[in-house]
Amino acid sequence: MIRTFKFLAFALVGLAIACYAIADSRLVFGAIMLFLGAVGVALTELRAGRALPRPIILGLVALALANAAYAASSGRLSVSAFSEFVTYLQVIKLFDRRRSRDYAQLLSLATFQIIGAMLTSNALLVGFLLLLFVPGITLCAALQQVFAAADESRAPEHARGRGARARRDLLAVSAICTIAALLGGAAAFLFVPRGLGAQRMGEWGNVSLGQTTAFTDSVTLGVGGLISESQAEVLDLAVTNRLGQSIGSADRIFYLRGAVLDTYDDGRWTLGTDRTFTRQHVIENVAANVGGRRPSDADISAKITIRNASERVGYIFTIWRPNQIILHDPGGFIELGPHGIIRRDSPTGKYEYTIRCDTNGRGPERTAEPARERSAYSPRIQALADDVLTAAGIDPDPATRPPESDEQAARALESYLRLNYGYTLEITAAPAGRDATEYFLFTSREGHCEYFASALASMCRAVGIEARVVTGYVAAEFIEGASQYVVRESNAHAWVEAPLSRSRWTTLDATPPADLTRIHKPALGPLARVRRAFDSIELAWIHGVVGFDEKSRAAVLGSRPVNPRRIEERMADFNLRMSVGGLSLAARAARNALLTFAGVALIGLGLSVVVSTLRTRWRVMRAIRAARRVDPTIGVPVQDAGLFARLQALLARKGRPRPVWMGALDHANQVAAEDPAAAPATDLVRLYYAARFGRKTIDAAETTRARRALDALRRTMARRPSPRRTRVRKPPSDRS
Amino acid sequence: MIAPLDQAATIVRRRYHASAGSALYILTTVFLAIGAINSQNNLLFFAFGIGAGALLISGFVSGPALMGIRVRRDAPSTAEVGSPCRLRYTVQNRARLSPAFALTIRESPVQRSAHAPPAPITACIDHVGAGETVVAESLHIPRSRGVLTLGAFAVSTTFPLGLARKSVHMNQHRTLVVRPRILTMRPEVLSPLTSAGARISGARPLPGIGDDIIGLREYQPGDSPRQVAWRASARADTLLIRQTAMPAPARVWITLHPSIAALPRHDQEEAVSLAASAAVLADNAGFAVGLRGFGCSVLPRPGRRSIDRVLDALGELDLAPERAGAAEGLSTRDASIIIARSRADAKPASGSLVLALDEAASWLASGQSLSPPPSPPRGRVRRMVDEFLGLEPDPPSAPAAPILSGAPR
Repeated sequence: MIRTFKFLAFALVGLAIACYAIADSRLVFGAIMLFLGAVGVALTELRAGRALPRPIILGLVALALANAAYAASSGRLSVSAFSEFVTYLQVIKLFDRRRSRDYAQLLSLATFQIIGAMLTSNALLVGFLLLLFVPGITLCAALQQVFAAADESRAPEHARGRGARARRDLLAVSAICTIAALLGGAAAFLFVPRGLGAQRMGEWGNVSLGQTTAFTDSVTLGVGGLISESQAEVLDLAVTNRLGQSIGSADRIFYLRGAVLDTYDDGRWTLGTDRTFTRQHVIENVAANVGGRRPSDADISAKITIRNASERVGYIFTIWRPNQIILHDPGGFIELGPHGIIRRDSPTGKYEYTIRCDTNGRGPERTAEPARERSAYSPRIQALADDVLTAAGIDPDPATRPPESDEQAARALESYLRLNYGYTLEITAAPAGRDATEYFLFTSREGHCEYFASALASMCRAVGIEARVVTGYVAAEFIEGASQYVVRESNAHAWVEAPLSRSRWTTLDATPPADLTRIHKPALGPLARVRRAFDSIELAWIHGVVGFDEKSRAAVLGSRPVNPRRIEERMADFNLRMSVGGLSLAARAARNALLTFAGVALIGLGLSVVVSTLRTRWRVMRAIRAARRVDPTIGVPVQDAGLFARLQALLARKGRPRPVWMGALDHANQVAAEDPAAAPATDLVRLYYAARFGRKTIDAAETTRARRALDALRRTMARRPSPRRTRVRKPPSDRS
Repeated sequence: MIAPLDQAATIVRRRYHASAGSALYILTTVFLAIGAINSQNNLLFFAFGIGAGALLISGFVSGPALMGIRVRRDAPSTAEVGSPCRLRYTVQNRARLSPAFALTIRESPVQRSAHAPPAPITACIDHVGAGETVVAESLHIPRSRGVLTLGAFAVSTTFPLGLARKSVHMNQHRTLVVRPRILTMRPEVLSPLTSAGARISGARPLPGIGDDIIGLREYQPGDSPRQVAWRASARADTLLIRQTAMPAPARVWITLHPSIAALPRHDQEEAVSLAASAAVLADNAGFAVGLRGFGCSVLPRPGRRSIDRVLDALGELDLAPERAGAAEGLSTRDASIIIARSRADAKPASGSLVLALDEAASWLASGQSLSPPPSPPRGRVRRMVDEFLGLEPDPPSAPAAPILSGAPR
């Protein structure tokens, strides 16, 4: 059983470290720590293995503590920093020698780390590892009790468990405990009302659901940018109509609009000089109107769950024009900027919101009449755009072209790019001194979405259409089981918006549709099927477990949802009514409790001081009485410890230190037997015994004689060489 | 139906003991609850439920397991200072379903003091299945002579999760005499008693099978015809039987001199240990051993039971000064071994052997020595620091085993 216990304990420590690494997206750190932990286990558990010396262990612990203190002092005090510290402690302990209590400490640290991982991430994998951890820790804790009882008793022998039956019983009890614990977890999950007391103790950070985003709010041609082939999930999108029915399908693609870039300079698109954002507070789960539009016009709802917002300020991704925004988890501020950009200011981690949109007007609303002037920075691009439009029978000059033909012109340019340019994910930078867009249009003739968007926007601007580049995501992977889209890092995309209708901005995408579908649509191979199945489970996890709220709870239990706000208002009202003299009920209760506690503590302290003093006095008096009983002529026993201490020091210097397990007289006898010149040591020890334990009065003559004997002994032994080092071994009978 | 355990200890009370570990566990669970409510993190709600569920099930699982436990403690009637004494615990689990794991048995100390270390675990049992009976043994090294009272003991477990220690206190009263430590003495110690001129008298012979005729008695049915004294029967005109006896062994008294009373407690114990060693040596040499001094008198009789009586008396002997009596009252015409503080105190008569405490080393066989005085107990702070640093405690002078101490009656 001991081997099983040890194996299980090490496995649980590894599981906890892996769980933390996954939750905090620190896979390399986790792999290194797991490797070091395995080395520690191998060093200490192998037959010839040895633990690291204790000073090194203490030094490593001090280093870990210093690192944690530095993190705390530099403002990085977080769950992640705590979990990192716990990881270091676990790995250090794996290099240390271990008894039963050390295993208990390892298991406790592993439990703390699992809690830390849950505070960091609610991803499916973290939940799965938690479910694995619960039976493991239950069985291991049960085994640890058996191990500890045998270890701590230090009894020479004990009744061992009888093989198969003991194992069967142990497994049965562990299974009962695991089931009961999981039932307790399920009960707390189901029956504790949600919403009550939320954020009452401030912000503890927000959990994530997985990976980070690949989205960027600028486009620089020739570098990575939005190009990512990572399959890590970024967000989930569920689109429903007014009746709550899903309108998503595998054939339908939605553009999730994020950043808008209106300024181009040397191959780089950025947001221009107008960076005015209006800040608006949005209460959690309360719809906030955006831009003064009528909520009743909204006919589409898009619920978006960003799995792990890595920064506090980020973009609200939208489809169409939003009429209302509802922030679910947690609330916070939104910032309404130029070009319909919407940003949020809220804790990092998982972030969930719903947008209600009006499909009658695609794209954001135009606030000003666009300037229909050519703004070509490159004559060659302008010439190309003119040629394309001329070939399509459209007047390229905005001054003479009717506004109704702008859409036709933009579509012509879009078609031109789709048909004549190739799509590639290979990143090729323009040669030094050459404009990246021009290089794409006239030299390389192939590129990815950023090149197509940049080229289309530049050509539109060259013919007087005020186009701009938009970055965001394309939602194309529809999960049938969950009726929602999964958006991955590889779905990051760039496209163009142009003011083509009277009051709306229209979405244009020059990326060849076939390539767009190929890149963003999910693959169909067996691996992709497995991935999609996993996605389905993950979405069910997110909606069924992570997103389980008061409404879901009420629906499952068939009861009315608890309104936390109403309960809190009632409690506040009750508190107000019970307040007397400006103090609320809670404050008075706290004050009274504090006063009572302080009073009881003071009385208890006083009593303990009095009792302690009396007991000490009684003991001293008893000792004095006992001494007088032995010899009434003396008041206090005489102890000549000075001579004895000097004798012991002398023997130690001469390489004969007294082992801690050996009595002084036995030791003196042993020394005298080995070296007859040391015989006076026995007499000195006897004298000490008589004085120390026999309370014998030693007169001056005896003391003088003893001192002379000690001096003689010192002189005699001074002729013996002092050994450098003497190791005293325990006798075989004491090794047990 | 499980047969009840004979003479099982009676259950006195059941208790739950909180520990630092259980406090930490409860704090963590409360922290999980606060964290879950504050952050509305559903996994934390789940984890809080797991923590609370584990706490409840721990109590439910361990309670019934201990309720069904019955224990009988078997102890020997005597023990010896410094020698292992084996206690046997027969543990029966009368529960029909629930097994018991990680049971530890602790003997409750008869006398508690502020500096006394916590009661040591004396026995440990990994597993007792439902309806099973398991025997565990524990070794003890008695540290002082006297009458040892074994009273209550506690059976406890932290199983299944170590959140709290549950214990059942049981009472089974039993006394055993802890005899003094017996050292090996040099055989020539007794030579003054066996040398010429020593006055050695025999013990009163006991009837039995032997060659010495000690008298006649009337015939009783069943007597062997070979034992009939025919001539005496003819003279008495009735059947008479020859009564025989074993040869009477020489008698020797172990005498504890009153000067011992003035010695410190530790030296007194050395004196008693010396007396016991001398008694055993004399018994082995064929003497009938008696004991006198400090109000105690055990007549020397032949046979094994006599030495047992002497050793038991030494184990229970109270060396209080008021019981010492006068030295003159101990004089005897029999041979005696006088245990005294010093030779000058004893003033031995002829035929007496004086074993002075200050010469003890010269009487003992090589490799034997009197026990060192007890070292002061280590402080609690020192123990805590050592535990924190993971240092091993100082190895004890005796084998690692729980300590029992007798007390003079």
